[in-house]
Amino acid sequence: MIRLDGAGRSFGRSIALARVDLAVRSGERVALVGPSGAGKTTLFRVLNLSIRLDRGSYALDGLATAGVRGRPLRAARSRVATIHQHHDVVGRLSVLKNILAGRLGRWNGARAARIFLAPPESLIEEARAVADRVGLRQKLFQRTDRLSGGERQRVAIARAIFQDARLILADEPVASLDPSRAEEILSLLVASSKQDGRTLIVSIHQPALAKRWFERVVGLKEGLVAFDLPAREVGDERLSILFAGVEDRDVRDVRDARDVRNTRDLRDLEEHEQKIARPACRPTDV
Amino acid sequence: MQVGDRASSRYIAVAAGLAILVAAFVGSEFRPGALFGAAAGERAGEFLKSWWPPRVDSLFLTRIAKGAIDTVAIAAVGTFCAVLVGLPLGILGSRIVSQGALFAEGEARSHRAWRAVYFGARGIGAFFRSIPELIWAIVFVRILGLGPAPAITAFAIAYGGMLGKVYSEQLEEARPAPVAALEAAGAARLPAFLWGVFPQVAGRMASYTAYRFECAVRASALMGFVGAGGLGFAIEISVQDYLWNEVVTEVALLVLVVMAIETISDAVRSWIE
Amino acid sequence: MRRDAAVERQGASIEWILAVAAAAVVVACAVWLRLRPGDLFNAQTIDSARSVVDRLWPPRLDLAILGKAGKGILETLSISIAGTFIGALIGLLLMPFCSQTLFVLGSLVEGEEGRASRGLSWAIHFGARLIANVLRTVPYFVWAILFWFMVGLGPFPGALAIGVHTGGVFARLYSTALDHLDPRPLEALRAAGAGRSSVLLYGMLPAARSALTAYTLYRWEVNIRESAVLGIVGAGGLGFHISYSIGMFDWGSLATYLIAVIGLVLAVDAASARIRRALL
Repeated sequence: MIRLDGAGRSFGRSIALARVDLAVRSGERVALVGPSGAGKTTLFRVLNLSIRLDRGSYALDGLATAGVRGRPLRAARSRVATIHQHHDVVGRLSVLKNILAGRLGRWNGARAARIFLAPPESLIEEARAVADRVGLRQKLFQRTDRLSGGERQRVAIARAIFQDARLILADEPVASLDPSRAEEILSLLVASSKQDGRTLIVSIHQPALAKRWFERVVGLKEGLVAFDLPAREVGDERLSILFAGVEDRDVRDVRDARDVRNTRDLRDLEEHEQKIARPACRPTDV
Repeated sequence: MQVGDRASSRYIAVAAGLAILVAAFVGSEFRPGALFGAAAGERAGEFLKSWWPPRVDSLFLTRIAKGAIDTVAIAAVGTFCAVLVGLPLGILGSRIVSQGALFAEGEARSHRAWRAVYFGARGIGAFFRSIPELIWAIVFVRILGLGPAPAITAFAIAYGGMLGKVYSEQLEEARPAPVAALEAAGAARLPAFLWGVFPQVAGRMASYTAYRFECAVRASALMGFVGAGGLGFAIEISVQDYLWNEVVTEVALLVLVVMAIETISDAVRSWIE
Repeated sequence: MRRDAAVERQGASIEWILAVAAAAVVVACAVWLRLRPGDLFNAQTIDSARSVVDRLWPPRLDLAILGKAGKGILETLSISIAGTFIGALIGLLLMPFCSQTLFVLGSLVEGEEGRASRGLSWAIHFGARLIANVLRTVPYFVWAILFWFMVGLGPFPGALAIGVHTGGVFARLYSTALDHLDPRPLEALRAAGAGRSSVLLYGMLPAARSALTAYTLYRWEVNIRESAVLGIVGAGGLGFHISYSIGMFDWGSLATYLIAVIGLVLAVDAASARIRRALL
């Protein structure tokens, strides 16, 4: 399904991925563990073709992705569904439209516009079925920004399922959830993978959850693969090495992150800061 | 030292401000005496007396009511045409489409042609909006003749430029992450814009458009003075014939119309946002 | 189940209803005005547009026209600055009385006064708002004609008209700025025994200063456009020259004046942005 050989990527001076070799077979379910700043998010952005590699190669479904652009690039992207860490759903749209947006990669401009204005009943039914699976049937026509954080996350999952991709990536889907909700979300993801035979890669902070739900666990540290083992062979000593010095590392991450002006999450943060700092200076009520 | 510098530069700024202010009052030939002198008072008194009683017969009222509807209708059609001009200017003049600011790395094209489109749209918008709508109107009255057409064209151009600028700012305020998510799922540039950017900003854009409509109603009344018909035209005729008792009624109607439009547009805007 | 969905779907379709209503209003207005797109783009109008554009270029740049344009720029600029200043004075005068926080609403006035004085507060507040509304909604053209009758032609009635109209606008903008302040420090002042005027001077004005400055500068940008236009009803400045040259079919000088207007408007926008950055 996917194959990374010597994959590397840097942002300015900081190296996000040093050298990663990784092959995942179709239908496999893999957990990606590691401290924050290990390169998990960068790896996902490489895998869903949002960013390119500086070094090494990435093959998706046998297609070498280097230099692919335009329509073939979008076709390749539409085969990978991503559940982003901050959900990244469009708040002002209804749940229905956010779910439908998963298929945008397969529609041409005119079709996308037509469906935006008036979604056909058949697509609504399909989206309703997906919403059912994530427990959002009742909320299909509500505006997404009126939902709770957990519900928004399920919208993102529904969108990924509806995309009907061969590969689903989930970036820290349980990072800020209490244990019972975390189990619920993981079972949802694993079930959807089993039911439709999709490959699933999930990054997780908590090793215990990774071992419980996945058959294969990949440890990532400082942009390198630290271990790649069947879940039952992942012992505590490996994990403690993986997470050793995490506190120091986190502090450095923050500093490194400040240098990385390219990354999208950071741009969001900056925007947010600007929004807070900027006074409402356009009086429109004269 | 530092503090002293700052204080003295402050004095300089205040002195410069005062000098400019005095120059402005001299430049506008300010004569407060003319306003408060006995002669002015007398003239104002006579003037006020000629207002009373306001003309309110039904023939006249029907005529100016029609004029008021004309004024609002010109503003509505004008604002609509301004949206038609402003949308492309705003979209092309924002960094989102022309420079791919929101788009994922693999697809970012900052082509020379797109940059030309971007600066072209910005330049046209700046040109359109820096000539006041009334001046556009008197120019177009010469080209298109009297009637609503020159006023509507003036709105389409002047307000189209203003809407274009504000639209492009609003578009650039959209959060990029959801759009990037759509692109990561394979969406092309235009669909990602329609599904990801547009819904985020449509409410604010509609709200600003409603505000522009308010302004258009006020300006449309003034365009009557230069030959665009409507209530302003009625006021102009009455002024030329010194029929101040008509002017009072007309201005009162205009104030009512403007207030009503403001109330409606306030309600709609608070509803959308 | 289906019915629930239909009910929920209504939330999304309000936007549709609004859009359809707006479209219907526009169409109705076009019908009322008997507009035909053919009138706009027939051979005759295109012809006259082309001949106007042809004659607009090159602009007349002889000394007489440049001198008039320069004088017009100075006059228009003076009208806008003097008008904005007068407007700011009127606005500051009306502002406290138009403020809801100070006069009618909120914990600042609650339970502090007897019924009679509270009635007086309401009367003052609504009186001030009525004055501000009349100043604001009567168009500056009408004010200009009024002052023109009182003090004669020239830039002076123009400055007065802009000033009076802007005064009404500022009264509303300034008082909303006061009303949107964080009420807690004001309540603290009030609790410490400060009267209305002390709350205004020591609580509200310092906090609202930057908003008031921003509004004033923003409005100056609007006023430069209005002053450029006022000449059409005889208030001097660039507008007078523009309407005169159009009346005389003197397209070359019209082009010069239009360039002057564009330059002036852009310069004032830039100056206002600079001042805003320096002050805020």
